[in-house]
Amino acid sequence: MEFLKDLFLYPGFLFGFVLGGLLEGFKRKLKARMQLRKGPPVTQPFYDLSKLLLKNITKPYRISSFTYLLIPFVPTAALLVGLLIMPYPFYQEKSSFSFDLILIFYLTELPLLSQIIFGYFSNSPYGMIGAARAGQMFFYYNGVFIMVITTLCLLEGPPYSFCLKSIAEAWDPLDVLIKILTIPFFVFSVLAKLKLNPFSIPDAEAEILKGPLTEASGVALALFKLNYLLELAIFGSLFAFFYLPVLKTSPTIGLILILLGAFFLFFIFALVENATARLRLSQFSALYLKFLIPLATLILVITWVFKNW
Amino acid sequence: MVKLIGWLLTNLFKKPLTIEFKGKSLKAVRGTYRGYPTHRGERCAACRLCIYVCPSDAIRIEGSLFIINKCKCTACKDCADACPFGAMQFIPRLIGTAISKNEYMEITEIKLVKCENCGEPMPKPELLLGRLLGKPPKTIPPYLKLCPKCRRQFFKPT
Amino acid sequence: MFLDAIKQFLRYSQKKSLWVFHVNTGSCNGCDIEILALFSSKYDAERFGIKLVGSPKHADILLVTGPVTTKSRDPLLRAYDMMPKPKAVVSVGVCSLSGGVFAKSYNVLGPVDNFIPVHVYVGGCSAHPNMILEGILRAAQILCEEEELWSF
Ligand code: SF4
Ligand code: SF4
Ligand code: SF4
Repeated sequence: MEFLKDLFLYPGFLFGFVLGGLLEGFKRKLKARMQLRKGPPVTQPFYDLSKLLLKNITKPYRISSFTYLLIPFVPTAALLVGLLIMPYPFYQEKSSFSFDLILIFYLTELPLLSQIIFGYFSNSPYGMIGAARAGQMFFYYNGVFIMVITTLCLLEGPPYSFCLKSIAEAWDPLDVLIKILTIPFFVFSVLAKLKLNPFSIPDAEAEILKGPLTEASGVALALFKLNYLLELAIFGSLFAFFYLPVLKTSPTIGLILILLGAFFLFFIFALVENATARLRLSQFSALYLKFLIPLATLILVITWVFKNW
Repeated sequence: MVKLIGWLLTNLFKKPLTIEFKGKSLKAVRGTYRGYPTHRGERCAACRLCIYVCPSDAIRIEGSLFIINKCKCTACKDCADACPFGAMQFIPRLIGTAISKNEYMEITEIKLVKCENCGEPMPKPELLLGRLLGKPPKTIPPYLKLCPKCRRQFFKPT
Repeated sequence: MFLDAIKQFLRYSQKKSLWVFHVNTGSCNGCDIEILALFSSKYDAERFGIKLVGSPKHADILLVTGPVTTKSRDPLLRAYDMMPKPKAVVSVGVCSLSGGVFAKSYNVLGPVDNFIPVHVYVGGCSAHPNMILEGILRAAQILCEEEELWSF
């Protein structure tokens, strides 16, 4: 009973779904306001999802409908587990063990993997192009993301445990400085992970149709969208855990801080999305190979030197 | 880039440019909008010049009914330029949406007068005279009130 | 009771979230530019949840511009068949209503409603963005009145 409550209500499905939907709606509204438009209502993602439930499925002949629905469903389950691992306030006693950050990192990779598999599986040329592009991008931004995680893990002292809780509780002045230094790398790698504008290469808004999701329709597409919303919730709260003193305060204030941090992250995303245009794949890899990965490594080395001196 | 971000941030506090869309549709457009042709039956002489110039066959005359098919009209204004009597007018209004194509037929009646002798419908004589003299006529000579056929009978050229 | 509320929410969301797929069957690009203007700041269509999607498999509403030419007939029919079931078609511009200036040209087969059922017509050459918006909203009305709810 307790577990079902955890799974479906507070840190699980409902919380992630509502938080992700509100974040997406907030981002779309902000984006519209920055372009002097009125923009959709903040609840728009929920309308989209429930409308997709009503639609029929038109799938390619060669795919069996079981696989068609299974591929998007696996990451949904994975992301729910990811939400359950995170030490949310009111819940933290049950979660947080060593190396949970690594597990979260793998679980948040699953939606993209499922999209790549779906793109190749659906046999549509646009899906294959999108999947190939997504697979190529995969290595670059994950490099930066791993650097960021490792840097943050070095903050907590010698038995490096990659534990989200101990990162969230490291608040010395030096730690704060290093945390602030890693913010841009975190933002860039998450932007690429979520396929937002300067790095919206795999689906390219509407230019190569919808990238890997070209053949998805009806409930399958709704599941993909749900995955996306859960991902948004996870990255929003991850930002709050890393860079705000969430676990240092009382649980209520901690929860409010998580929401504030997530919405602030999406404010930055809206700004970056509006201010930049989509890069080519070569420009993307040049940006990561020439600037972001070396700089992230530099910060990692500096942190190690400072911490072990 | 910095300038652009500054603009974006100030835009957040400005009023949106979007125009209100209340109810079903927005009727008011600016005065410079060209709009769509409207036919005025009382000025038309049924000379069919507009049918001749219309590039997309949008105009039809059936009996005394003047039909503009707005499914075909491309708002090129050729008809208004060609009409000698100024019966085609462009007023700035929008062409609406429709569920069936019949809503796009704009039907007006041409006001024809009857020949005093045989009762055959014929265009108003004062229109033709006004066009001929350049100003509205004061009196209309009696032979103009007959249709061309009757005119030939009564006033035989000698 | 509870089921009714869910049903009503689904209906409402169907009206609030309209994904539009745009097919050009040989138009002069005038109407296509007006459709793009629909998503600009002035006629912001996104406030009604209208979104231009890239794949017909995601779409609720098909916007067709231009007369159907010999080459574009098959793609049009295929895009229409690919759309999942609660769907509506809006034909935009005089060309797609009757052929317009291209009527009786050697490569034009005829207006759009000779090939697929059209629910709402939007006239004008080129159609005014406001009227396209009105047409899409009218089509949404038809969309949720006409079709039975997909049964679970
Ligand atoms: S505006 Fe052009 S297309 Fe329309 S009725 Fe007049 S001549 Fe014909
Ligand atoms: S509208 Fe003008 S051009 Fe056309 S039939 Fe009437 S008078 Fe002649
Ligand atoms: S209706 Fe006019 S503007 Fe639109 S495609 Fe046809 S010719 Fe072009």
